[in-house]
Amino acid sequence: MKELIHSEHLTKMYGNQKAVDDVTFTLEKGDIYGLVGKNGAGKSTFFKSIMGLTNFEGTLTIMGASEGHDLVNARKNIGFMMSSNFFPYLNGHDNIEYFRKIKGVIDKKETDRVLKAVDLFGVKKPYKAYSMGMKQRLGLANALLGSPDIIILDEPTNGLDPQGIADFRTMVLELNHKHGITFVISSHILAELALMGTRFGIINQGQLIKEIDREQLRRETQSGLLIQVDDTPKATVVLEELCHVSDYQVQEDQQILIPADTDPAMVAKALVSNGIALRKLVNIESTLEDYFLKLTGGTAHA
Amino acid sequence: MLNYVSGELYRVFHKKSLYIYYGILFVLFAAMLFLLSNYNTWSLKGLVDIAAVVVANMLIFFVGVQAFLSIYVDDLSGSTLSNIVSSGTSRFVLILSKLVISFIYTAVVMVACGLYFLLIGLIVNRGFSADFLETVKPLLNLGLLSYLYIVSFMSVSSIVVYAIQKAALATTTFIILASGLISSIFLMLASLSPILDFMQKHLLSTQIQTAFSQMMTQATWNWSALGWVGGYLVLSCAIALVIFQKKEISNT
Repeated sequence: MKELIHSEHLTKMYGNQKAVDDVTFTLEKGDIYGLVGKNGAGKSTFFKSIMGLTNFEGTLTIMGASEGHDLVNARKNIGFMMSSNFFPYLNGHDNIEYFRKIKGVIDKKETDRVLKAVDLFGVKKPYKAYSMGMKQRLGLANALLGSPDIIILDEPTNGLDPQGIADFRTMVLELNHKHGITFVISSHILAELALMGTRFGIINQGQLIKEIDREQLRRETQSGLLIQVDDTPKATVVLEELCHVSDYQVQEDQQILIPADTDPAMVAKALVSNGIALRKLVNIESTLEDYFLKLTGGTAHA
Repeated sequence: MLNYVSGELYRVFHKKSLYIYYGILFVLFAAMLFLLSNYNTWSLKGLVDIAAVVVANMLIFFVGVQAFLSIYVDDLSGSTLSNIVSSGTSRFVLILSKLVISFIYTAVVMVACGLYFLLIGLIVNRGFSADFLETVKPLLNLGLLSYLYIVSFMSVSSIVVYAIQKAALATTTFIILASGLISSIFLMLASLSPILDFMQKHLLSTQIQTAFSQMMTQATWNWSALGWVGGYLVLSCAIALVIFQKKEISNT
């Protein structure tokens, strides 16, 4: 089964406001799907809809099951983390053991295994004494229980220090590559997801406004030399034959992006001497943040 | 359902405060018996009479509040309902399992209280005598009645748990129910309207008081009490399920 989760026109209303607006989404086996959006964009609400924590309109299919008892059962194949909610008076081991029993995971060693994976094995103090980072890690451990086919993580790196974030990324990549676990990870930081995601969805005001894969994201956020001409086809011929530039991108508004290491003077001379008007020639540094803000209509802060 | 019941029983019996709470209660109970009884004429019968008053007036409150907090309110305090429902536990299974757990947990606690009292009784009575069981039987009956009503009150209060999902409100609801305040208010207002009078007669609290009175004065069971308990359990579970199916699970 290649398609693990599929939603069709999924909408969630709170009064007159659409928290999730007509989202059609597909998660394929093996994906590390990064769902990016600002705070309040609808990421968590979308996850709550998938996990049965709220009602919604539209259709949802999880591993072939789309309604009733089958859908409820299908959620047992998903490890889920949305903030870190555990019983404050139990320690990490007892909390995970509780969820191990509820999830019907028979292997008693599973509790220790997941605690070791997040470096919380042997910690005796109760959950209420945990730091923010420890709480997040315990949430991850719970999501890993039973080695589910799919793991959905809502802002999993909140509260983690840089080493913790790096360790988390390593763990996700290992679980995905070695054990074939499919991930959906949400964050408001595209740069963080870009390091591990294979596909990305940008969500804004409840709508899934763009989906791209890793390669496409790389292309659309790369730096380079941007030129604007009056005759794009002729300019591309000049670039290829005279400047020996083949790795260029033709963009809208008669703009062409060429690699940053190209000599701008050579390019300008070649274009002008062949009768092509050169309207613009600038070095651009496109960050992931710029890309995200451009898509969501946000503005950069000074 | 068995998985959820198993997990919940693991959780509630791993709560250290459970043992501290009952340890303190048992000490206070023994101290109270000692202070209230005329120790010049200590007898098993005298002990049972004092204990019966305690059971009739306080047991539902002290055992019930602790049980309700552990079984129902802890999920709200820890915001764990979202983890539980998202793990593939259906809301129907959750509600039914909570009822099963409340029966089991309260039974364990009540048996422990009963055994503790029997131990005190054996000490006071200087051992087991021919009429020992006959003497303590009324108290055991009161205890059984209390047990049934604790479970019923918890089930009724669970409606607030699932509808509002706020720990303080749910706890307050249980305390108000268990204290008999609702019944007292209705009793005051019953004469104002036939509807209020009807409602007052059919409140669970009213039925409890009637059953306890009959037990203490006539030493007989009010068998209709079982019917009332069953009715309130079924009705409260049904209402809780209807409400909970449509509610969003709060994450905070």
